[in-house]
Amino acid sequence: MWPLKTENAPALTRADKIFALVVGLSAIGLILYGRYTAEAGGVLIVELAETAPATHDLSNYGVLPVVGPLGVSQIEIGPKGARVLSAPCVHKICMRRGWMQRAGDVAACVPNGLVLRIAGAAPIDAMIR
Amino acid sequence: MFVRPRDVARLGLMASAAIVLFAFESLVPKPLPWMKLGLGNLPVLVALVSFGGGPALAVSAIKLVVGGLLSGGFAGPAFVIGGGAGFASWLVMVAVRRMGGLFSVVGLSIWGALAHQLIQLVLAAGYIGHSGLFALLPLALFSALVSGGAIGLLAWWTLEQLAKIGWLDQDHINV
Repeated sequence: MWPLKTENAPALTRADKIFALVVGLSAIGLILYGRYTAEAGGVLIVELAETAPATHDLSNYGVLPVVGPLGVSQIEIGPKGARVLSAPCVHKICMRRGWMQRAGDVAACVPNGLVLRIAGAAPIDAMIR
Repeated sequence: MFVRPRDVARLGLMASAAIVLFAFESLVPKPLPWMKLGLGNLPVLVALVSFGGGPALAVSAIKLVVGGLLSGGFAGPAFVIGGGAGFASWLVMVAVRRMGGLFSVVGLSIWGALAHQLIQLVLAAGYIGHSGLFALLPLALFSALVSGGAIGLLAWWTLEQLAKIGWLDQDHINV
């Protein structure tokens, strides 16, 4: 009855195996590439639909209210990095993301049109406080 | 084209199964919307392999509409994103099936999951108006591999059992 017996295993084709391997290796490659190129986080980039991304220094602790289409998302910047403190959406997925520290870390709240990204040092002309 | 009443009944059952699995899965807490198995896609895949592209699209559309009504997200952004991703997934799986026996049902499922994940990411990024979401690409690929593989294995097993009890003609099943 149960499929995990070897004589019952599905006949995976060679194309299946190669394809699965390519997808898996691409994922691992992308993650490694992200880690390899990641610097320690320096700034938090707040991207909100239809506005220019705002950059906040991670050494500047405090709570930052961001107003999206759904309401206010509170972003906290502290010693452990940045996180979403409260969100107006239903699922609170962005809050469960927890603290973000490394460059490349991302939290998104699609209902509120918000993406938070950690980047290394910000270019000076992108600095907005 | 003559459609046998038996097939209509079986497709209805598959659509119902898709809705029930979709509703059941929405009750299970998940860490990220990308990290669900997509159990509702199991009947879509079974319908695709046993009945063909059109019936599979019908099962997928019924799941989308009734699932959207059940979860209260009908015609909302998640509905549009999920619908677009579901359609892309169907399109890719139909195309992959045209290649003949190159891929098994497991490979077919991973193709579908991959298309679903990528189009979902593209539509979500389009909806919020910027590309920051693409940082989730590795997670999307990994999720497609795991969920697509798992659903493919379940579909393979389901088809096996359905064939065993004579539910589906063996000559119907051609991946």
